[in-house]
Amino acid sequence: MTNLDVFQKITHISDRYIEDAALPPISPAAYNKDDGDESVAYSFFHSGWWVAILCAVVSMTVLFGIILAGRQGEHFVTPAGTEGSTTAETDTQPPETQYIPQMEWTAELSESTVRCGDTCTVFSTLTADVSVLASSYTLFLVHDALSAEWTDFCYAMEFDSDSGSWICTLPANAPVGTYTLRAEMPQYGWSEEIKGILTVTPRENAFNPDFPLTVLAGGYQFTPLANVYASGTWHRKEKDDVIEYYRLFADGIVMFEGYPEEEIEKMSTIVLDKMPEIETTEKVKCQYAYIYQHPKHDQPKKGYKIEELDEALGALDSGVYHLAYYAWIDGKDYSEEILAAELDMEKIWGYSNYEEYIQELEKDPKHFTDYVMGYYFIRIIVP
Amino acid sequence: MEDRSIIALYNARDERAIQETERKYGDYCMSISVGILSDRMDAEECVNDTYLKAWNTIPPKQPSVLRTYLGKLVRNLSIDRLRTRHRQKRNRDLEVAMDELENCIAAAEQTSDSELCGLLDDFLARLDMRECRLFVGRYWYAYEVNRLAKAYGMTPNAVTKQLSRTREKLRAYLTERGYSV
Repeated sequence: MTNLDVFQKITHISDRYIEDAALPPISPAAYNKDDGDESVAYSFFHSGWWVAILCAVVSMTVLFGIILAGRQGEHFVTPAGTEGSTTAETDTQPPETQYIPQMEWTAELSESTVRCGDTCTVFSTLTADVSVLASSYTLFLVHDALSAEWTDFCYAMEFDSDSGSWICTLPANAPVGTYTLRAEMPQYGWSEEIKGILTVTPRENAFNPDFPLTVLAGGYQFTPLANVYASGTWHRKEKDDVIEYYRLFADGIVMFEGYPEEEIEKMSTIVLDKMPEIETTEKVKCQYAYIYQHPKHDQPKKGYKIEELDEALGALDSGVYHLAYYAWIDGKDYSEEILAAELDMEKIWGYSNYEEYIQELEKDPKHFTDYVMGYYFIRIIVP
Repeated sequence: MEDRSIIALYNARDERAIQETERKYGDYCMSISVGILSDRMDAEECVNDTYLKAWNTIPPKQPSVLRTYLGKLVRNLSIDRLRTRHRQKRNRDLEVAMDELENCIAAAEQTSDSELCGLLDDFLARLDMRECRLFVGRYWYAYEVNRLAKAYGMTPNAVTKQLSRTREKLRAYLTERGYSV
């Protein structure tokens, strides 16, 4: 395998990393238009221009040295506004040469409150003492309470050249609350933000608990989910030595235990095919978990992304720990429901009560790792 | 024009889709291709091939992020074109980046593309924002060290050192997961 093959193999990393690392495109004028099929560097070094440029640089350096020698001791101001000196002392510590432009940024939202899943529009103006293209800076919406810890809840806005505005469609599972609008131009180390500029509220949900839904999954016909909603307990389906559990939360969220992700994809498709009265289903996933020591619930909790949870649990010291899941669905936090479901599941697995469950955990604090990744959710939306 | 409107044009088989794509993402695609090929004419051909490929694949594909969808297409096409070139005509800076990457993930290079990308996604999630941007900028976009240094207000030497540390972390990450040379 060549280094080029390896380079190509990483093409399909996640979009978010690719988006995040993009620098403003180089101006087309910077590309060499007349170099035929030769590379820029190749044509340059074979053109002879470098000899002329080298001569010019040497001449300028000599000339500059002569002028500088006659101006020892004078002061100057760098473009960044810091005072420098041409004395011998500063020759060993040259002044900062990166230019930091003066910028003035204003932003206005078309609406100060939007719902999860809605589009937010920002009219932003940036004036600077350098030429600033609309696409040369970036805007982000960042949840006020979560910005420092969880960059997943940092939503990049996209510039629409037709309207001259910035647009961002918040995901359906965006957490509700107030958001900060942040402007960045990393090439100049510049950023500014306006806190609390946007309020995100939950989306209305059309789910009707009395609607006689039946989910067909993996060839099984589940009981009408409306009944599950009414009872609020786990339901068990057993066939061909496969045991599956599912549970309905309010608002049409169905929690499945033990399904691999691809099965959920299949299940959503089956639901759509067989149930024309259902408008759509949407796969949602538990996003974060907190781990904290039992029973010291008031101690600082540590949050992990679900993908990191296995490793975090494996590294715990002995003791009894508690897990709290966080899943924002339509802006609502379902962590309490998930924890309740989790404890109920323990009963299904043979613990008669919570105390027994805790005693069992004391024997093996890493008990969670076997099944913690196994919860998936789909959202059913009926018209 | 918003991405969803451009994708709607593709779905309707309306050729304005390509014009709008070029208008909005032409510079972005060109920037990626030139970074790999260091040649404007070759890059222009790759970018045109990218539009054609987008036309032939949307529908059925409905990319959630059109920009990165195009970015992946143009990156692949540019690498394919580079593969057909004589080695001496390759960009030396890119060769250095590719060698660094190859040495770093040699242990896992026999895994499938999707598995390797999954590992990288997980690894990148553990990095801080700037470290992640530098790594992806260097090894996905093939940005030169000097350009990254200017963009992030660092010296080229600091960028090189940071990248070296990140590669070491990645090696350790892969070793921990049972990938070793």
